[in-house]
Amino acid sequence: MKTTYRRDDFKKRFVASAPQKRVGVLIVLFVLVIIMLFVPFVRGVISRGLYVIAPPLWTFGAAVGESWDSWWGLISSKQTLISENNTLREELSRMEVLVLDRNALAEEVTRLEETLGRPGSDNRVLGRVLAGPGWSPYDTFIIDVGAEHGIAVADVVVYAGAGTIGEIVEVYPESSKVKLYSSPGEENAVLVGERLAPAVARGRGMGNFIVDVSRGSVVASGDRVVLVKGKLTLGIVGLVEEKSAEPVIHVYFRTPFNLANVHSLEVLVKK
Amino acid sequence: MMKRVVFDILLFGSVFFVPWWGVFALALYGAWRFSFYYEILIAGFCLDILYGATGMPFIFGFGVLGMVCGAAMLLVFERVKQEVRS
Repeated sequence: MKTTYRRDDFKKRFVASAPQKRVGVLIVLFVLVIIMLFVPFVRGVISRGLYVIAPPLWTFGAAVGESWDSWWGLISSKQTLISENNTLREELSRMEVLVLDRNALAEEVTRLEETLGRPGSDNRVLGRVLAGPGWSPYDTFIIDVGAEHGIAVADVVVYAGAGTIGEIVEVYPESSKVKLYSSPGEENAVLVGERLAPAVARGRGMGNFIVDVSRGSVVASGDRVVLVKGKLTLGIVGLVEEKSAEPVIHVYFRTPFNLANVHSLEVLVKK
Repeated sequence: MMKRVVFDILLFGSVFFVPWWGVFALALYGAWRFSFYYEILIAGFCLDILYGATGMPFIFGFGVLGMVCGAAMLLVFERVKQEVRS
């Protein structure tokens, strides 16, 4: 007896339904993208391609933003502008005094290093921030200086000439990517407080850190935390938490400046 | 079709010009509005390449947040749309 099959039975048995096809396509796409992310050569090519078009776009976006701010400033109330102007002048005067003090110290350090036969060991390259942590879910900065300016992977990045912020992790011809020390999961050797207690600081994101020091260490809110590498300021202690059942003290500290207000960074280029 | 292309341009442009939560909101709308909007996976990939870095504490030490969120969003919305619109 001849057996015949209906065409739609065939389709049901051997042809995937539309939702199944879509899940299949999604899985293939996902695997392809994973490969592109983790195969260094492929990722490098795609990154370099994206970083050819990205910096001009970011620069254009920043220019549009500045134009908007200028226009908005024109239509803001005169009284608001006067008040803001006075506040900024006062802050500027205060900063000028602090900078004088710091410049005097820097000159003294340079003189001492020369006397000891150890001239200044770093060159500093100033970079403008193209994109920062608030722009992406990652703790990274993109700056407008790269290999053409002498930047290399693992160069330390500082803000305001003193506070260290992170390291260069990717370099392109005219831009580079800075990974912050406060990135979640990052660990760095630090010295805490006036007695320079050694410890390991763990990043918690957006300029925040936590470090555990042994019970009995003298640490208080307002103490400085210094990165062992380079002896640069990493942050200021905000909260010290002591629990009677634990043998350690939890110290929470953060960068002494607001990451959202960082518009330029300095890269310490190795000579 | 034209609407989808225009929205794609908007989505990929937002990766450069808009904070990540703006990209997320656009991706949500796209996933809801269009059928099988796989472009959010590519947008998430671009976000990871542009702003992520090696050594980040995600899968295999590299940030894949954008891509994983995009894939999850796509799967969830396709399922929800299937249930709601059937």
